[in-house]
Amino acid sequence: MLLIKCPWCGNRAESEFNYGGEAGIARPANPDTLTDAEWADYLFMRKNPKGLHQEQWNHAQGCRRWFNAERDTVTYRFTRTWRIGEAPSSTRDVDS
Amino acid sequence: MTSRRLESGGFVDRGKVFEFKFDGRTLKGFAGDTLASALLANDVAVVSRSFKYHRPRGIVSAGADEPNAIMQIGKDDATLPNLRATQTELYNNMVARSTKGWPSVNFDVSAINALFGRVFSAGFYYKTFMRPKRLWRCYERFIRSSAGWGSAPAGNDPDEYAHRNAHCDVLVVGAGPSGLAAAVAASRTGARVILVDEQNEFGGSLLSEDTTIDSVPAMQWLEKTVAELSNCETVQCLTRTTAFGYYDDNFVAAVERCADHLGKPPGQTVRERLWRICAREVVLAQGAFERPLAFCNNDRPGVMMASAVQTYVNRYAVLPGERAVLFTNNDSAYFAAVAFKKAGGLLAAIIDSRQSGAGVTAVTNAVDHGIPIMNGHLVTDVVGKKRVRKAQVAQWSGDTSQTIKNTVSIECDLLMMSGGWSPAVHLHSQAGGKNIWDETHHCFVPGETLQQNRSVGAGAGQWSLMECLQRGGDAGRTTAEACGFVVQAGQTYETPQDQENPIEPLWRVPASRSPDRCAKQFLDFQNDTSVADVRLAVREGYRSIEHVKRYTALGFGTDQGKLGNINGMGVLAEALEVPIAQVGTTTFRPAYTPVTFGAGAGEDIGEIYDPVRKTAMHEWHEMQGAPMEVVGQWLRPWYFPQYGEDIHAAVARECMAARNSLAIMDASTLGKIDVQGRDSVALLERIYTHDVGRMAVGRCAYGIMLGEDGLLMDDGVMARLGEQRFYLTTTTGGAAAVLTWLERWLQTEWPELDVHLTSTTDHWSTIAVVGPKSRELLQKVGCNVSLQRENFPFMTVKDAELGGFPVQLFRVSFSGELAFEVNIGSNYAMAMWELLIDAGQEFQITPYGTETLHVLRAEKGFVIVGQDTDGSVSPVDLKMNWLLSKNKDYLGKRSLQRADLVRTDRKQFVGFVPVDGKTVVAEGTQLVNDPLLPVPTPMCGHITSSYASACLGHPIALGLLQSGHARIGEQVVAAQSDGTYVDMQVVSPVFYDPKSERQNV
Amino acid sequence: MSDSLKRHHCLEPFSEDSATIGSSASAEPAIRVTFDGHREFYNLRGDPADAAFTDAVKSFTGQSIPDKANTLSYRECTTCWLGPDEWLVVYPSFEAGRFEKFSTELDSTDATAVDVSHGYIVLCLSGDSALDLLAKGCTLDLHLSSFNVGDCVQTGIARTAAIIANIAEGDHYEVIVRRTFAEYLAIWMRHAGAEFGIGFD
Repeated sequence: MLLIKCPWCGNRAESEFNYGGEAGIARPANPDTLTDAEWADYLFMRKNPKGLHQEQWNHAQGCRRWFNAERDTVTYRFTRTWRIGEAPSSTRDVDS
Repeated sequence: MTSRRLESGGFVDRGKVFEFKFDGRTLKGFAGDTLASALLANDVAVVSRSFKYHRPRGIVSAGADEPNAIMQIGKDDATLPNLRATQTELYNNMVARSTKGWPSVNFDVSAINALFGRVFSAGFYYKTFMRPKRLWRCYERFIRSSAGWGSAPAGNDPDEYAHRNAHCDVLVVGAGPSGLAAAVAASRTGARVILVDEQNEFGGSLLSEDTTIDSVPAMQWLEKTVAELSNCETVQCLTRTTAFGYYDDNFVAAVERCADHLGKPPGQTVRERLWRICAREVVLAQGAFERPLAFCNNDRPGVMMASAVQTYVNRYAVLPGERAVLFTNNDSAYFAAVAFKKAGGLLAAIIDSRQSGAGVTAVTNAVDHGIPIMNGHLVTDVVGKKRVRKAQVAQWSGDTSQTIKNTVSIECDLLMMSGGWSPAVHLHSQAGGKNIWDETHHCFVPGETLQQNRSVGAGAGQWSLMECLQRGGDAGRTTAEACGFVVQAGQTYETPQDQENPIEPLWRVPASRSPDRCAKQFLDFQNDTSVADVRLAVREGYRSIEHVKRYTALGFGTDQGKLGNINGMGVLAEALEVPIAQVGTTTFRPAYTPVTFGAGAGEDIGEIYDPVRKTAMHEWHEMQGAPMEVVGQWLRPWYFPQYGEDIHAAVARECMAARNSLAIMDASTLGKIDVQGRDSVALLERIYTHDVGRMAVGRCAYGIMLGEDGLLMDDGVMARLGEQRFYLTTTTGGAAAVLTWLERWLQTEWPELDVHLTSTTDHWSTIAVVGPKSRELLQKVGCNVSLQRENFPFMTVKDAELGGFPVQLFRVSFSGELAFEVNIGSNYAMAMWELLIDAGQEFQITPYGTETLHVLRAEKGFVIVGQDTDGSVSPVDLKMNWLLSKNKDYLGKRSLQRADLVRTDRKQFVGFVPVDGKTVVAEGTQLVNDPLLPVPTPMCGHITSSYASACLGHPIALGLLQSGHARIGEQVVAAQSDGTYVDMQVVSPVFYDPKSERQNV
Repeated sequence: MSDSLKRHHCLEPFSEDSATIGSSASAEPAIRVTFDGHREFYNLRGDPADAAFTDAVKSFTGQSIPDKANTLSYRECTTCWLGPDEWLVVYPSFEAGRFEKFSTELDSTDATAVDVSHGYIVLCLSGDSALDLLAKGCTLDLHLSSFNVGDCVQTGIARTAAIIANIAEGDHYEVIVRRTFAEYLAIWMRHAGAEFGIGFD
């Protein structure tokens, strides 16, 4: 059972969470001014790294908060999690 | 039949006799027996037939590695297939059946396959049954039935299973000497410890061996240790529990067989319990498996692992033969030979393949018991079909490439073999750990770990009892310390010291002919994989152990190669001319031993398979005999049949009541969200496509939300309850997803907005009162606000008191009729429903369900998200342009300008009427322009909703049609699944009251 | 207004056919479950750093809101932490007009409250095996070392979400669950509790 550290509630079972995809994709301020290609880039294009990946997760069965997580796509390990709007800690909880 | 039971000794209870049936014969055993020990005690030599050649097979091992004694246990619906007799505790009246061999294990018609052994080589099935392809189904049926793997029960499993979550500081897997030492050491620090062992009692190898710990018999030490652990409050001891899977974050799954040994679980006892253990640290002390030796005909009944013989003798008081030969390449098996001799067996000879033989301790022990030892010798072959009769023994120089010419026969009915030991690295490997090759002991041992686990004892290649105890204790203390507990100085143990000679590996035994032409030398007994098969695979170009495994089926059986894989790797290494470390191991996956479906399912079956959500009025609907429709997790009444009515008659009657008089529906399953906060308008403007800010307080509006891709996501009525307060409804299935969607944008993208979202789906129940008489009904039960059009116009909301209850009253309509929706606290809802039903009698108030709801809305052309839309439909396709604000940005707006969404040939939402005026086509029916075009005929759309309409007098349908908006008035053809065609007129989706006057009255 | 109105909580149908399961009729079952379907529940949202909000709540409920995750405060009512800006206030019984007063109290602040009284029910668990039962469906460690009086957790039990509140010494736990998941949870408890012996009141 994968444990995920909710930045508010602490370690919880993976089954309490929902995955939200890649983190850090800011919605363009003025979509109208974008070309189709630029808009498509925001809409569709996602990283698919082998290794560390920054993601959004939601503690659905707990505090309902969305938060950021860094996860290693090779080992599945969550290396750190942090609250929206805050910076990730400079050290990782575990090595990837 | 002779009894092979010893007069004394062992851990069986001779006072408690169990009768059992094996393949129809009634036999007797004792409490404390396994099925295997009881069969051996009854001198049953043949217990199954092999997979491919149908050769007779006997019991080989005494544990999880048993490849042959695979049984169907129990009868009727409680039967379990493919259990290992060596791990099945005997109970009274057990019914056991061999899973292989037809009609019986002693006479198997397919044994003729054995005569064609040269034909049935590796890859035989792949090569032979590939062509012609169409015949594979035929072949498959024959192959499967003649292979035979037990049978699943026909009915539901009558027993109960359970799941259990557990947490501990230190989990110890295996309660042999090293596991016990680890558990005791950890528990003395105060750590929470869980100790699991697959056997019915703790002790592991101590239960079979005759030795001392701290100068007292090992059994005394065992009793004392187990007592200490059982009395410790922070320790949970689980016997009959197999840790079978090691997953992420030190999560270990184990199955406890609570009642398998009792036959039928008594009372409320569960049969098996799945333990889901979250451990901070794990100590793996799983022990090791003894390896067979690959000589000719090494699968004959009577050929057994040496350690298994020792276990049967010492633990179960069974002598598995009268006259034995031991064939070994290491010292450990000498003690098994001595145990056999001491129990009264004849030991003809110890055949040791090593030129220099065994170490002083082993040799002295054997010589003291008068056992002859032949160093530098081999057993090349055995004679005897259903039972070993002779071993063919020859002198050997130590050169594996040599063929053996002169052999002598030694009579025996038991051949004990030992090819050394392989640590059980399964859980370590599942946890992601690497294995490394130990050059001294010639085995893979656990290497680096990825998780918080460490291996000790024989499972880590620590072979002496002293080392097992010492390393076990160290691991217990280290792991407890890692969990933050204070550790005292380590304990030391005193055990007899042996002087050993090292093992010399012997992956295959030279024979009188080349390994490719000699009699079968089996590696994997269960799959009939032989030395020659692996060598053939190499000749045919296979190199990777994973590919060889799949080509030869080596290690594919229920024992997952516990017994034979290592010899297979050795043979492969020889054939490839590389060191065995380079060949590597195959992947170890859960489960370590097979787990029942029952344990996997646990309690999540039947009525608690998934939550069933019911509305506050559910009991009333049930009393009326309404069939239920499953909508997400909800149960909703489908229709309310009166006496003798079918669904069509009931729905027609319900629809007419709504159109002409008065009908009532439970709409409580709608998702409901309360929105409050300074920035409520700002948030909703960005989510919904219409101008939310322009809504006056007290107004309702139909709203849709789009994904950023511009496609319709959900819809519903929203109401502005205050300057900064809104009430949203969502579709029944979309409630949770919409709330999560809103929260996501609010929390991650627009945290500066001050808005609070709360689900009120459960708090409010919703009753729709529909029809021309609805206003009269509400007036009749007593309403404290005016319901007249000028005071309470269409699409407005008011707080009110209705029949004395506080309610939110919405003047909205999903039917096109004059209608009100009553929101009432769920605990009051049943009382309100009954009040309305009683008061409505004079208007023939008619309850209706989801079917009528769908017909009424379809007559008005209202879409149902998820039925008329499928995630590829834009609001423009639905002609909802009037909802799309030009004054603001909202989610998905930019996408509406994407090239794909402005295409004019998109599938668009329209209505259909069958030209014949009577056919109700099935929902999902494809539409074509010309059915006579050759197959595959191009499709131009499909029907999404289709009903008979009582008030219109003809069927209606809704659907998506390419360029549909421009094709009103044309005809298309619905191609029905039965091959017939129905001409459909394309019409506006609004069939009834197109000016929408009726809801406004 | 509605004190005298007829209320039906969602487990009334379940209560009618429940009995003691899995232990002999005379023996006290190892788990006892009582339903409390008529409490008042307010969902409370606000910024815990906003003194106007916390003072208003304190003056109304007589107790501070818990600002530590997964804890609760209790005196006249129980206030459970649900999230960094969200709490569930639970009053033991219904009192007409109380929510309106509470709501008014918050008017001068940015905080909001929603009456969700009809949306929840409480299953009160007691008995030696109460924790064993919860451990069958809940992945959290509810051992004394990590779950004590004053703690509350939102988590999953079997296939539904619930709040487990620890408000009294000994084996007493309150499971707060959404109305429409309560029957499922009660049936689950009846099944899962049978091996220990479970009785419903």
